[in-house]
Amino acid sequence: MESRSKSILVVDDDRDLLTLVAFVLESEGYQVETSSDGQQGLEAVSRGMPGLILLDMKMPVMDGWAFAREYHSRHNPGAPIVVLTAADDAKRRAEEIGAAGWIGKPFDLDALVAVVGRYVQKG
Amino acid sequence: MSFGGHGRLQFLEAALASAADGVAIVDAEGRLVFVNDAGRRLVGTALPLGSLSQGLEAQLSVRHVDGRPMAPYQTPLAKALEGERLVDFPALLALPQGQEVHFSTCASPVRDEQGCIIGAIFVFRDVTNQRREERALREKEELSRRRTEQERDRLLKVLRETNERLVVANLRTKGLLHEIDAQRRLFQSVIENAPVGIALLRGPRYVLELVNPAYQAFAPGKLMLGKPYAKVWPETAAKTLPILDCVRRTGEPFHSIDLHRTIHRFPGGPLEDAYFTMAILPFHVPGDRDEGLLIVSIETTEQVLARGKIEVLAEEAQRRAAELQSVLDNMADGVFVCDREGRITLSNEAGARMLGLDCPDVPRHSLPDLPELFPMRHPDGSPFTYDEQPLVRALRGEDVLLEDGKIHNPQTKLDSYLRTTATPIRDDRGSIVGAVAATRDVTELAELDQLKDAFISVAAHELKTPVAVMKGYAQALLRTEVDLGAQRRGMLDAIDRGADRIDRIVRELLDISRLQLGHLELAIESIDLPAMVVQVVDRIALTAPEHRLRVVSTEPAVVKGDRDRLEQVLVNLLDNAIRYSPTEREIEVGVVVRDREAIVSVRDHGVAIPREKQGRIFQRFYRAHTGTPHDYGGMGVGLYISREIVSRHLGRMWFESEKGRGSCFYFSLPLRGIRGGK
Repeated sequence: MESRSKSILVVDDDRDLLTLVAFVLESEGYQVETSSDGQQGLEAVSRGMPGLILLDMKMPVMDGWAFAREYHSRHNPGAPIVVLTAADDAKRRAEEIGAAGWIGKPFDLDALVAVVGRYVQKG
Repeated sequence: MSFGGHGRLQFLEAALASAADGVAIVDAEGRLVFVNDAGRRLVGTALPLGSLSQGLEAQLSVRHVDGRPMAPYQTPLAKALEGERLVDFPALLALPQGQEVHFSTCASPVRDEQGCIIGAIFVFRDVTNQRREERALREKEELSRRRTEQERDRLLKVLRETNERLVVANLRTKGLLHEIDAQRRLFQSVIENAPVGIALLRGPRYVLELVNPAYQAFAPGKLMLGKPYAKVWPETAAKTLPILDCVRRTGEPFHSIDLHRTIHRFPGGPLEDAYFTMAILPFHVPGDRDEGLLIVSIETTEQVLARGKIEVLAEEAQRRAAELQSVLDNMADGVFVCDREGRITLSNEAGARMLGLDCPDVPRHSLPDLPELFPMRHPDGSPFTYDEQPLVRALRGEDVLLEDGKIHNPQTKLDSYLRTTATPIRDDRGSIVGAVAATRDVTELAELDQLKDAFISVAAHELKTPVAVMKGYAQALLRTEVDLGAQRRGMLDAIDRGADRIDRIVRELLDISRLQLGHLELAIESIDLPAMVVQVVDRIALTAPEHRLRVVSTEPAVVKGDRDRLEQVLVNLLDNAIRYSPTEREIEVGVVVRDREAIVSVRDHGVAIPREKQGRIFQRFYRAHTGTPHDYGGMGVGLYISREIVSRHLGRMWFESEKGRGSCFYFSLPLRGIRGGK
């Protein structure tokens, strides 16, 4: 945990949501990087391993499943992934891709902050 | 020795020499003094004169006729020398050549003047042939006698046997006479009691000489016996007399089945239609020159008329059946009928098509064949057990309404969706004699339904992200330290709450589509039910500060179930209670344990559910209060989802509701719990 970066990578195709999450987490003191699909996410990871990845599942270009497969094959162990999804079986999806946790959409900001706080220390 | 004059002696010698019989003379001592030619020839040997007769006899071996040897003193000559006269004394002479000669001998003494025996004369004749003939004759006589006796015995035997037979025959004759008498009486009884009419007609006018009661019964009011046929049956004579004539003339019997006649049963009575099955036979009375006719007839009027009626009815029934079959066959719904034993007795073409059979093959099957023939499944994919089959349930007396199922077609690899209604068929007394099921292919509807569910699912997902954005920004603004003022904060709170409501609607829509598709999964865990109830009530109480929520009983109960889903049920019931209750009345929540079940109840004192709407409140999208002053919105799916969740937990949900007293909703959960796992 100590060696891990305190930054958070948020991967979601909804630009408004991306902006919201970045705004909230930055205002909580985290460094936040955003990507609008899995492909960009992988590129961001290759530039530098974040402390946590918040991952949407349904995305164009490269979806959450493909991202997770590729991510796990390249980086083992990497930073934990928390699934951020509108799907009602978020928990199962998280298990499927070996994610550490999940947050269902829509979410309370307090809940978001609490979950993130579990994995990453503020920097 | 002296014989008187010499001439006389010569004469005698000449006479003796020419005699056919053998003649020998011996002197007193037995010496042969004379033997004639015949004697020599007969003996067949030289007989030297002067030889002793005894020696001669010994040489010649004189025997008794039975073959025994004759003692010397017994010989005819010896006896003659003793003074005895032998006439026709039989003797047997065994000649040296081995042959035996039968002789008839005569011997007499020859005396002198003083009567002294001076010799003996022996005359012998060959009687062999004679003896043989005699014997043959005797044997012949014997044979004849024996034959005669045999014949006599045979005749006697025949006589005796004949006599015995006569005795037996006599007895039998008596028996036969008795039997004939019995048979005559039996015959009479048969004729009298026969269920067929019998009449004997005699003479050219066909006089009815014998009429049995059954024949008389054809026309009870008529005098028949002794009357000519034409007088008895004037109404039918024109038709029948030619037949009688024909039978009489040709000797050919006449037969007819259901012959139609119009007759008077009584003289002067009405003419009635009557039908007879009859035979008219020539009848010869032994010892009578005049032939008769025998009529044997049975009236079939009732049968013919009944048959006519049956035919009309059968035609009608056939027409009806054809109509029905045509209606059935033109129906889009599959129709199946089974009898009480579960044999399928009828199906229409649509039904046969559903089973993948030809219509005539369907009635060879019975209900136990159905799971294989027709592997119908519930909408969630589990197979119908035998007891769940609509026809089986209908046979048990249940009215099965709109039971949904699906079946996979291996050829098209597509599922067909079926909706079945089945009811028992009862007889006049109300006993179940079978069942009928109508199955409608609702695949198109189901596909539309699925399309709708898929649409809901996609739409709901798509809604979630914008809702998350709305909710998130509203909260983000509320989190800023800038002083927004109470009014602006209120607006942002409203946005947040609106997002929550949209989210709830979205979740309900998703639940419905999941339930419909059978995708609702439960994460089973042990739950302390009263603790959970208290927790949920406390949480809801916070959101409804104007209502008074109270937990009235908390009997300990641990159940197995999906915590989130069970909380969802309770939240639904509480939301409803809050929505339809005036604020000043309490809402009471309880947990009780009854018979291995935990029962959760939510009682309100609010607007009751109108009685006429109570039957439908668990239907999805049904809103009992639509269009009333109590329409507080909502999708009308909460109770539907709640009951489905409870039934997935093997529990039940029900309610009581009465105007003026409010409603109480219950749901039960088995205490043993349901098996965990996914």
